[in-house]
Amino acid sequence: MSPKIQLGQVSKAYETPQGPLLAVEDVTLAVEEGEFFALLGPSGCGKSTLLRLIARLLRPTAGEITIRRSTGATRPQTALVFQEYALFPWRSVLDNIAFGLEMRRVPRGAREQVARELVRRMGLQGFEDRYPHQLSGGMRQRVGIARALAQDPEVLLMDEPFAAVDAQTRTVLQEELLRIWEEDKKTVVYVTHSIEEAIYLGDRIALMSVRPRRVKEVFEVGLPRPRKLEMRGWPHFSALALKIWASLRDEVERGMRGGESAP
Amino acid sequence: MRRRWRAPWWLSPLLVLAAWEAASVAGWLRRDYFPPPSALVGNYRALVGEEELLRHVGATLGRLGVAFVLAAVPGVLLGLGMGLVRPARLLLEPFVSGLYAIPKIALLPLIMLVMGIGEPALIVTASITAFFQITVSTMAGVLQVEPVLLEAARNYGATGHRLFFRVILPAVLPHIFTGLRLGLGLALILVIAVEITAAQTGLGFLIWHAWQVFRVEHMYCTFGVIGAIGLAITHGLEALGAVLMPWREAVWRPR
Repeated sequence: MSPKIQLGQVSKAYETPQGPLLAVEDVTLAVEEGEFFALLGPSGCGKSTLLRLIARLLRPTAGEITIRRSTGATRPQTALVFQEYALFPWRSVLDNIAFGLEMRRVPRGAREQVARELVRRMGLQGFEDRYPHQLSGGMRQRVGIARALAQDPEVLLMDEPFAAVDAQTRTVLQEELLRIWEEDKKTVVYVTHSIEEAIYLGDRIALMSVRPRRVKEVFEVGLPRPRKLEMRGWPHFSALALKIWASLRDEVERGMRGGESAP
Repeated sequence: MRRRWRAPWWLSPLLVLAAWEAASVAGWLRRDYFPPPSALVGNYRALVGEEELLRHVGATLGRLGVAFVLAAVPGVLLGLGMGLVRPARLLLEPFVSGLYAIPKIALLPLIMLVMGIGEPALIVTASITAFFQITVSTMAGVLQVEPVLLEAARNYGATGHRLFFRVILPAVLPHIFTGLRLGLGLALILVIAVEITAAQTGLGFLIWHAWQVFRVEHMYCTFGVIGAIGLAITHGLEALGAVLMPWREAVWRPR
């Protein structure tokens, strides 16, 4: 079968007063159905831009992106989870989760049923009627993930979803995400700048370079599923982390020396 | 844990009144310019009887209401339009910002020239100030909608009227309310000002009349009434905002 997501020589340039800035250069990638795919790179490597290209929030300057539809399905192609949560402050937890369904004119009863099921899956019981500002960062991102899963998208896109929460909460949320993901093994593209997170969650890791802003290397993680927290202590885990770090290190230094960064 | 003591809202006005009373009674203030507050209480009754206070309150509130509606409806619409449509914003922004800075009371003679002396000229003068405030606040509100919220809205399928009514409008609503609150306050100031200048009714006229017949107590009583109206409309709008926008974090409350 053909890959779930295919990127063919994709480039994205922004017009700036100093001339065009290449945020993504000539990226060719294939993500398989049911794969948890991590995009890893230093800040300014264009990984968030790449994710927004897959989400069709941006149009590529050159190249092509295709997402293979499952047969007979009418579900949305992508649903994004944002680092800054991007919940709608005027909507309750339940109404935030149901937002995408509401936009697709799913009847109230049906969308509430889906939203309540996700409240249960994400452990948000008792918070259905709260507003986002009444929730902690970890709870907000649970709502963000629930909102995305309510869409039942072909592909789940996550843009550094746990970068804004504290370290303990992050570990809990990673475990929860793995548990949820194990239930239906949806195709995920997960942007992160943390090597440990990429290894712990991902099946494969694409390391992005800064100049040019393209995929430098793809690593197979090769850890068994379901993932367990103790795998972080396995020799294979640390060996892979060191190997990735050796390649990432040049990029971080290059990123620090170059002043420019992708918007 | 001990609760931090919070001063009740009436404490500082009460202290000022008490100090004023004491200073006036002790003779440190000239009684004919600064009569003690206790002496003013009886004057409210006199003001209601002699000068038909309620009729003047009605005249001022009527002008304020019409001026506010005349300002709010086009102000919100223009503000939304300028915020959403870039060419409209680029075209109108210099014009709006330029006029925003002019004290609109300066336009009263011109407006009376064009519209004739009478109620419409007074009301229009008062409403223009509020109109600019509401327009500018609304436009700023649209421009301050977080880009990531719009990304989320688009990614989750919001387009057209649903994008406007279910995302942009609720996101801008708090700013619209701020504009309305500021606009209403400005309209009250302007209504009083035009009444002092060119009206035979209203609280502004009453102040001017009190000066002409040297009834200083009446002046103070009218100040009190205007202050009460200002407080009532500000808190009233704030309360309405809290009902309409329960999602807002509590703002604008002294800590």
